[in-house]
Amino acid sequence: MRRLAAFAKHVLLLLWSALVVVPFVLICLLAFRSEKDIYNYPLGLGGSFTLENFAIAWWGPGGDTGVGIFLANSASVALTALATNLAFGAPSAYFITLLSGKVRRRLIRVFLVATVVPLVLLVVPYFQLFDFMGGLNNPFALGFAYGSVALPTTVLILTAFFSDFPHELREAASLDGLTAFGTFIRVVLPLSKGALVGTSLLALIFVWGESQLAVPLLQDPTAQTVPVGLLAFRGQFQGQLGPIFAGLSLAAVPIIIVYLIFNRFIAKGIALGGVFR
Amino acid sequence: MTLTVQAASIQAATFAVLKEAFEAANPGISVKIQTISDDQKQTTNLQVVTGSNPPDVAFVPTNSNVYTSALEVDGLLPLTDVWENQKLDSRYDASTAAATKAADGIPYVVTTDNLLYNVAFYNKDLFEQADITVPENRRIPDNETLYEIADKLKAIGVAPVNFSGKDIFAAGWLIDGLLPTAATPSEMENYLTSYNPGIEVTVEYTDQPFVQTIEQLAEWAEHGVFQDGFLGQDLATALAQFQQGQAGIFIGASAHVASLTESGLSYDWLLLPPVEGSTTTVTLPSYQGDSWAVPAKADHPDEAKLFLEFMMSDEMQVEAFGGNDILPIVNTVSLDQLTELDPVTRSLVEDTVANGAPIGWTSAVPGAFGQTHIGGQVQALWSGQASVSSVAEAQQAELLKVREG
Amino acid sequence: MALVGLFFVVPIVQAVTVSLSGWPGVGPVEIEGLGNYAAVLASPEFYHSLLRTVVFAVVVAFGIVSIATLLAAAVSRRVRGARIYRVIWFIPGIAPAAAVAVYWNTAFQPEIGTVNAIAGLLGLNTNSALLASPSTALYPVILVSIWSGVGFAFILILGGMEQIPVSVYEAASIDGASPARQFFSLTLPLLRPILSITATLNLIWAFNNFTTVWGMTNGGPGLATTTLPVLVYRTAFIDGQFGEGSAIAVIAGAILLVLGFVSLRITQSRGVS
Repeated sequence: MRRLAAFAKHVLLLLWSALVVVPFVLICLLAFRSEKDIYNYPLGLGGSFTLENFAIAWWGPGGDTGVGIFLANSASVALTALATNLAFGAPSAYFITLLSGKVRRRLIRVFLVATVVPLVLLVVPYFQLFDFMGGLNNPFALGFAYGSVALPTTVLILTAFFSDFPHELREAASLDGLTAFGTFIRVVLPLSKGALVGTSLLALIFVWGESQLAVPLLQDPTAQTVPVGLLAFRGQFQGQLGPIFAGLSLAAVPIIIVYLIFNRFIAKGIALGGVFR
Repeated sequence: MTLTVQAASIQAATFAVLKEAFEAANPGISVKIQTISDDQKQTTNLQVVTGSNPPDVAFVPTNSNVYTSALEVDGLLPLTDVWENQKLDSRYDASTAAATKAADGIPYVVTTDNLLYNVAFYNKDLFEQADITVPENRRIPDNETLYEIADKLKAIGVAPVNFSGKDIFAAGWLIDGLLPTAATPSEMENYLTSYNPGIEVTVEYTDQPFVQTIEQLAEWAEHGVFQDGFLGQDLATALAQFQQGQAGIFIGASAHVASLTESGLSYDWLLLPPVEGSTTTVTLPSYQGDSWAVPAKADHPDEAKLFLEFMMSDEMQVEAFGGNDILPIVNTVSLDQLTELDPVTRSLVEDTVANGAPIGWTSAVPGAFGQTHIGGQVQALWSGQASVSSVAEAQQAELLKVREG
Repeated sequence: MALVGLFFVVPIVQAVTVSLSGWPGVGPVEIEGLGNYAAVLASPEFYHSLLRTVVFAVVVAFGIVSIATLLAAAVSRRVRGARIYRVIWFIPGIAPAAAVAVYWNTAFQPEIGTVNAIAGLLGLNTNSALLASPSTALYPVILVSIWSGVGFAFILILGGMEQIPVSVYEAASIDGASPARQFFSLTLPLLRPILSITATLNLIWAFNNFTTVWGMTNGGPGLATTTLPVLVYRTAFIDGQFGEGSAIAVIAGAILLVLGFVSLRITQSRGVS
């Protein structure tokens, strides 16, 4: 019986892994194929080998703006967004948990309201705001906006984590003469690495893939992020799947590396969190 | 100084030629091309063009909501001087000139090129294999012949007519081919212009010509003329399947000739039949909506106008727009000057010289009323969520709405 | 708070203002009244779309949370290869959704798509065209949304599971509780806050998901996959009726808010011991 359960478990794990990995392997394989072979051999096994797609993706169809520049822009956007998001999100979330029950619940509701705002609704107001403040075609300005858009979600998640934070530690800190803010910086933050990295990752996913807001805000090809740039490879009279796949493969690499690096911190943060239970 | 110019991503090659030639002719001005996507040119480009930091030369298709709305707030500069300098009133065909001006008779855009669409490209080898006789004069005479061709193609295991049913513009292509065969010339003219409140509606969308057109679309789908799953397939996919010999016919445009020829396929083209019972000669619809404007808040309006004039010069019409993907629009350029034209494109143009190529209905009327509205409606019809009469009624209701403003 | 004000309150106020006007997308906004709301509430398209959206959001959120919980439960007990799994499962979530949707649209095409090619390898029919039929077009979109959402939910839930002290399980084992029983009577209740917030967030994200739906189907065929964000986009941007589009968005926001609270309530009250 137990054997059977263990077996079923492994089957489940492998099955899901296959579901997740196969499409990416295919995207990578198809990126090396000509447009025609992509349709001829949907499993990527056949046809001739070409690096042309990667060349188009990297330097762009016009030869001047491609994934190379898009990646740099995405990185600027992402860093600005994360900085904004954490600098404002973490303290807000923490101090919300210190408030009395009623006020706290009200505030959480405000943030919940903010998370339900559909992005479509924000496109025009954001364009006007950016236009007014001269922030168009500026990846840093977009990053700042992304960081703020992700703020309510960050606050909601961090509030959930911080509300589990052990009382005793906070009390001990205040006995040691630390102010509330000091406690937050010296005691709470270092012990919440897991949660912080987790929410940052979430913000990063959002920032890395978002295109709806970015399309009108980043008109200039030299300012565009990866998703915005990739979409431009597809036109009404001509579809080029190869460069999109090549671009996707290239764009996924840096973020996987980032994840691999921070994966350790997540594990560590979670382990530390467990100690104080 | 730097002149910013918007262009669709597909036009990258054309605009590379323009940029180089313009910079050589105008030392001191450098041109920066900003590509925009198809989605954008119909939607959020409105905010960009009317914003405080617009491009100097904006891509504003005349059948898009962007054009209509930008005009409402005086967001585009009048281009009367550009038209005069380039004698566009006479160098455009009369219908093009009329369609390109706003309702007040003032031009706010120049339209640079011509595109022929709703072309039924066919695979010569597959036709031979399926024992299909190529119809005379490149025209499939009637539905019966079309169904026979489709059946023969299916019998040899390939898709009959590959069509991009997922794309919102696609149904419009077929309508643009059919409607002129169902309507009289005067009815057709009214369909093309009656969205304008200043023009009296003499034929409604619930009247015979439009209804018959929609009925025809329903009937073709019922008879399995299109490939399996065509409603979920976009143009790129439908084209690719045709290129690799998995479909006998592909509904495309002159813009596809270059890539079809490049793929080494042995192919030629036909036209789909008229509506049931019609004897009108089917013509190729033309799209002349690739148009450019100068936003009212552009930083360099004078240089922008210079660029527009440059695009319209005979020289650039041949060199930049005379490739295989798009065709020059002015009548001062002759077919002989386009030495690099693919034989297939040449034959398309020759057909338009012989039989005409009127502007298609979805290319002429505002997009929200024509192309995108009917696209969704016909998709619903094909997938069983709407009926012929409900589609016609919805179109008529949309007409009243657009006339009210 | 100022940021939230700048980036949320201002746009929301503006959206509500626009929803009361006939704004064409440019120029000054002139308030005209509740006409747009009346038009939206009288339109069958809106209700059709609302129903689709709710079904889509609930199925996607439920799918994501249940799969993520199962996966987390499997991995939290130090399975061999757990480290690799953690990395692999996260990948779909980080690929740009707009580009991924392009891939998946191709993959679901009959004959030439990967999904059908794999079906062919398994000896199944290779010409299914799920995206082309209004009755089935939503399924692939749901599957892809779940596929890309599980990764992050998994990490959140796993984080929660690993914070449950081992001693709790040891005590339970001594009491003779089977692993399955432990999972249902210990793990799930202890995870309640995290499950609750994960489910609610995913519900909200799915409800507002535009990119995947638009990229895979453009909302078609017909209106079959036109969820509310797609309807808003079509109405406001393509048709140029920003007033009506904003009205739909405001109503959708209100409905989502109610859904969000309901979701928090249900998930928080369930299994309270």
